[in-house]
Amino acid sequence: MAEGRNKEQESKQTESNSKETGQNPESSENTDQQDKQKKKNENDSRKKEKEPLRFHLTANISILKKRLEKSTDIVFRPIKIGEQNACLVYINGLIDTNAIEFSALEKLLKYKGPSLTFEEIEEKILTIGDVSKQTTFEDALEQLFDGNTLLFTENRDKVLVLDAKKFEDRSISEPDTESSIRGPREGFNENVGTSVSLLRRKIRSEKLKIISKKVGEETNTNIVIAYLDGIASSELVEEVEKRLDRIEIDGIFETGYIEELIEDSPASPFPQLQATERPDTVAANLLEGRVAILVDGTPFALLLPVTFWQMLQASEDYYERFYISTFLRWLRILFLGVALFLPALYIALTTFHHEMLPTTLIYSFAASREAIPFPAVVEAMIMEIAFEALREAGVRLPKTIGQAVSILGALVIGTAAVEAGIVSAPMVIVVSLTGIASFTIPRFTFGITIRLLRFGLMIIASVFGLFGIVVGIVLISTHLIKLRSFGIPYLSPLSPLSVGELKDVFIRMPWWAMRNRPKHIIGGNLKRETDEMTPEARK
Amino acid sequence: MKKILVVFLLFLIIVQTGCWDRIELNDVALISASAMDLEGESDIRASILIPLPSQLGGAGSEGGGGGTSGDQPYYIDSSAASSIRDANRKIQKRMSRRLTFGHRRVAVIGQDLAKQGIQSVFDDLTRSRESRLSTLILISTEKGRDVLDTNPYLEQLPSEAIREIAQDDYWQSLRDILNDLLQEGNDPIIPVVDLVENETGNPDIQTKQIQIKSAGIFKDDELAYITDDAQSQGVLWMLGKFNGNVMPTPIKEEETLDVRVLEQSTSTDYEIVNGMPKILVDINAKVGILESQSDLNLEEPGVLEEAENKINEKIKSNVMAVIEENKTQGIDSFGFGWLLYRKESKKWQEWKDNWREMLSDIEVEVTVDSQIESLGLFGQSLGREDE
Repeated sequence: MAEGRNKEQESKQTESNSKETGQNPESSENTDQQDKQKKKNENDSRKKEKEPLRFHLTANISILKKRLEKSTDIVFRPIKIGEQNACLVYINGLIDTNAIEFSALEKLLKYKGPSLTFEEIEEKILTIGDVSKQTTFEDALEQLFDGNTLLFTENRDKVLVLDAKKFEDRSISEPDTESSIRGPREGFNENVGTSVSLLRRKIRSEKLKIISKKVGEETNTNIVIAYLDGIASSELVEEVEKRLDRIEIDGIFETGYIEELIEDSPASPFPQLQATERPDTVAANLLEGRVAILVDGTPFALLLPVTFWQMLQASEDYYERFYISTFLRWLRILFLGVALFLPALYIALTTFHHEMLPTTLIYSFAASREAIPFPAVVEAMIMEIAFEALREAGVRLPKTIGQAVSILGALVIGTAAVEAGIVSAPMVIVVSLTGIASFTIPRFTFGITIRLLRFGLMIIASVFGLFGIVVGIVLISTHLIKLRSFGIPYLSPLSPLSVGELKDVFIRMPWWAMRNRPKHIIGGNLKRETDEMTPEARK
Repeated sequence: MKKILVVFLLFLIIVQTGCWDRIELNDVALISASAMDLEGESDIRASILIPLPSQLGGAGSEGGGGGTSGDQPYYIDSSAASSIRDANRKIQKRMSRRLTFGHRRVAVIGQDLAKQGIQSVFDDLTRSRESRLSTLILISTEKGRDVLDTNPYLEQLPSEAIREIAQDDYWQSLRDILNDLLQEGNDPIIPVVDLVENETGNPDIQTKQIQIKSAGIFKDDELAYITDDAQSQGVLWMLGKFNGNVMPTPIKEEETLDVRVLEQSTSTDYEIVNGMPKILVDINAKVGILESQSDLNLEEPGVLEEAENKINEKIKSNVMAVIEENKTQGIDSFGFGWLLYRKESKKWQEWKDNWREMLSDIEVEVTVDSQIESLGLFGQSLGREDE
């Protein structure tokens, strides 16, 4: 609605502008300038003029009531502080009724005496911790919608804001999307304040800086930028702030909105920010000089900048012994390849390059393909799409039904389709292996990217064979090499290569050997630990 | 908008091409072995062996099991023409699937054809993009087509059986033979496959089976002769491929000692005597006793030595059998000339033109050193009394 109105205004403006240019024929340079001016006007028109509070209580209340028309959840509570008229305004369900009742309402009503100034009310009467003042309607409303209580008094063009919020939120629980065997079991919740407090509990240092912002013209969503002063580069923090300030949108409900609005290459299929629910992941990344963005209303936090390799790392890598972590990393890289290339390779090898398969293997492929009516690529597409559909169905359905769906899928697609001679058994193996492979990728968004690219590779493989796959690899790797996340090359530290930084890419060095923070990201303070950290056996 | 158009046009390029040389697995006949025989005076009969995927017992297909289950899991067809490709073309005319030679693992050449020269066969085997240099090449004493058409009991396909038997001790791939042919002073040796009746008691399953026990000695690309038993063993010793084989050694009259060769190495060297090369062959072997038919107590000193000498003699006589035959025919199967070409390249230039005639005059000295490394679990056979 709001946008529509704005557009109308814009069009009116442009009309009037064109009339003006029609009257005074000017050089093109001037019209250019006018265009710029026009755009600026448009932008300015989106920023609302702030309306100052009035001096009289009744005026203030009636304006407020008019602005908050048809909002029955907003409560206006007229009271008398001694002889003085006053009014409490709050939203039902967002306030701590106990605090308001006992720390404000009761104290104010029991006061008998001469009129009080704001300062006196704040200092002598109210027993609420956080009290502030606002002078405009807009600011007052913002506070009101945050859950604060407004106290208007007679003959003041200011309003007292009493901070006594309380609303229901989810308790801290283990994140479902990033569960771990060894490691903390807590995850962020939808309240950004709680999330920040979890972070604060991980990093008890003055260096942890929290910058708050509001984004979204209608939703006024709280957004928090967290970073470690002196470790995160200041240019990076500035850049993040700049990109966040640029956002002018009606609402933000999830980090996904922000991600798409601030990433470097919006057209890229690869995620250029990492979303996580884990406070330990965020804290560890802050220590490596990254910046986190937390958004109110979602348990996900965004981390930036990220690299390709980060998408293949789980927080548990750092908690388990380094041998197993290194092994798991190689496993993930291997299965990344499987998830991306296996169906394409199968198609290419069975339809173009028969001689590349071992002889006995091709006999068994040929034997199982004998009765199949479809070409390999159609078979692969049917199975892959069926698998994706199954997965999607399993995600959306309630957990109990989801299980039934997956059993059904496994039976129908796994067994019946093969027995009916619609799909060959090797294809089922290929598809299920790719399915498993795509779930070994710890970052869900990255897994989706890989799954999508797989379809492209399958099509190109069915047309050009291995040659097509090679072209696909070239295209993907060129894109990855070019891609940047907040200025950091996506494939760093492998490309551009810096050997010293490879300590945490293909292998996970033991903690006593990881002396430095990643150099390519951080702004300063390289040392992570002292040099003599290798434990020694007691003799 | 323009961008979308460009992407769309690029997409069209892909779609317009179609899948122009796509062949599904159901549309190819994967040839696993082929055979070439002489037909009439100069024509070639080319035979192919195609496994039948539906009979191979994969998932989703009916049937299954090995060759013992009645229906053959393969199909053999042949055709005669002046060239192999022409013969294949004729076969293709009655095939519903495209003949694909990419998985040919065995090529059998009939001995009549081999006597005429295998160069013509090799052109077909190597020229096409599909050909594999790892294809095993064998000479057959019977018609190649009949060799392909044996019904092996332990393998599904005759080609597999041939390959597995060949790989037991000595095989020659296309690449090895090409090397031999191209090297100066080196003639190829190609294993020979023949057919024998199995000696089972059940007449129902008495069939001809594949056997590889001798080698075809070539002079350039023409088959000169096929080795007998002693010569075959000599060939294996000379090539250093006797490992793991069992060798019966006569130790006294009518008494034999069977030994298994555990380790074996053969090295050839030369020296120049009076301007003529003299070839020195040095064979080392470590053997273990498998069976003793004699009452020798091998634990006694001297007896072991004697047994070793007997083994040395046996090896030497086998090796000499093939070397002498080669010398008389002017064949250099073991690359003596190639050795001189590498080490004495200047003198080789003088010798190479009449190397074949020279061969009969060249002295070959064979020294054998064998060691009995294990006697088995006891020295003297159990149940025999000490004398």
